[in-house]
Amino acid sequence: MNPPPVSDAVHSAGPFRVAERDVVVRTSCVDFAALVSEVFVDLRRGPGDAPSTSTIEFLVVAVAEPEPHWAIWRDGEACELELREDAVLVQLQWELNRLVIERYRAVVHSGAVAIDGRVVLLAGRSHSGKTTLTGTLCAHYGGEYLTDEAASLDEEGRVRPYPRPLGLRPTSPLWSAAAWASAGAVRFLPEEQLVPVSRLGGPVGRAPRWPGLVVFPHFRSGSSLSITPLTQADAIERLAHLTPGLVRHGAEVFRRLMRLVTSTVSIDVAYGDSEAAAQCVVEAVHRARGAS
Amino acid sequence: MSWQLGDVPVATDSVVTFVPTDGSDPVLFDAATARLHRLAGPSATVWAAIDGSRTMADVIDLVSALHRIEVVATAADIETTLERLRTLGVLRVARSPRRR
Repeated sequence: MNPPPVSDAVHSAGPFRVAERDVVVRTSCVDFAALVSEVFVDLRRGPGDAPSTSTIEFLVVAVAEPEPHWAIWRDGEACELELREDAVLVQLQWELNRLVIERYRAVVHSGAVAIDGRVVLLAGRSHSGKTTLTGTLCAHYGGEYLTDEAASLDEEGRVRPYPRPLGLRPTSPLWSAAAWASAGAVRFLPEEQLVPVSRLGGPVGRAPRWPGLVVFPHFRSGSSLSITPLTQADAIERLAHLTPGLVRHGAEVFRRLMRLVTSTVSIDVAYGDSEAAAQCVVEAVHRARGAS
Repeated sequence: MSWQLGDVPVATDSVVTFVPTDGSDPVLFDAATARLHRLAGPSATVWAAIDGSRTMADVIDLVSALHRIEVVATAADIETTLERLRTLGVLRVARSPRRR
C-alpha cells in the first residue's frame, strides 16, 4: 500500500532529535500536530544543534474509509495502518523508541536519572514502578532526566540521553501533572498519558553521563520500603533479561553490561511509597559515589 | 561422551566469561545461543581451571590441590562437570597427544 501524498499532511511537529537523527512528524490533523509538539517537547532539537545529515519523516494521517482510523508511515514505509484514534500517539512513541533500539546496540529497559552527575539506572519490566520512581526523582529530588524505558549505553559505558515523555497511569502519584492536555487533544490520550519531564519541573539532560547506581524497583501498593544489595552476578543476570539487543548483538552488548555492573552498585528496591524510595535512592547514589 | 585424561577442555569461541570482582558466581554468555549460564560451586572451580591448554588430568590435579582432596575422589565429579558444560555448549574438547 502506498503512503498518502505529503500534501495531505500539511501540519507538522519537530524537528525532534532521536538517536542523533532529526525526526519530523507530518499529519493531516492540526490538533494532533499540536499535541505531538507538546508531548515530545523535551526531544526537540536544541537551538545549538546542527541538523542531522538526513531527516526521518513520519506521516500520521486520519483515514475516513471504510471506517475511521489512523495510519503511520515512516519514510514511505508503513508502520501501522489500522490504529484507533486513542492509540496513535502511543504508537508514535513506540516508533521513536524503535529508532533508539535500531540505532544503538546496548539498550536496557530502564529509566535513567542523573543525581549529582552520576546516573541512576532504574531497570525493570512494565509495571515494576520504574517510571514512577524516575519521575519522582526528577520532579522532587532535582534529578536530571535522561530517559525512560530505553537507556542506551555507549561504547565507553556512558548513558545516552533520550528524554522521551513519561508514560503515567491514573494510579501514579504524579498523575496530577498529566492533567494538562488541551481540549482538542483529549481524544488522542488514552488512559496512560505521556508527560514531558520538563512539565514536572525537572531538568532535562542533553549529554551522556556515567552510571553510578543500578536500581531494580518493585512497586507494591502498601508495602514497606526494602533495600537489598545485589551481587554483580545477580545484577548482570537481571540486566541481560532487560536488554533485547543481547540476542542480536551478543558479546559486544554483554561486555558493556559487564562494565556496567563492575563499575556501579546494584540494589533491589521494593517500595509502596515513591517519595521514601526516591529519598533512599538519592542516599544510595551518594554512598556509591563515596565508595568509588 | 567419555572423557580421556589427555583431553583438553576448551571454552567455545562464542562464550564470554564474566568473572565478577565482588566474588559472586561467574556468568557465561554464549553469543551463539544468547543464553546465560551462571556457574556455582564445582562448576565455577572447574571453569576457572580451564585455560585452553590444561588437560583433564591437569584440571583434576589443580582442583584436587586447591581443595586438598584426593585425586581419585575428584576425578569422577570433574568429568561429570566437564560433560555438563560440554552439553550446555560452552565447552568443546580438543584431543591432546599428551598422556598422563
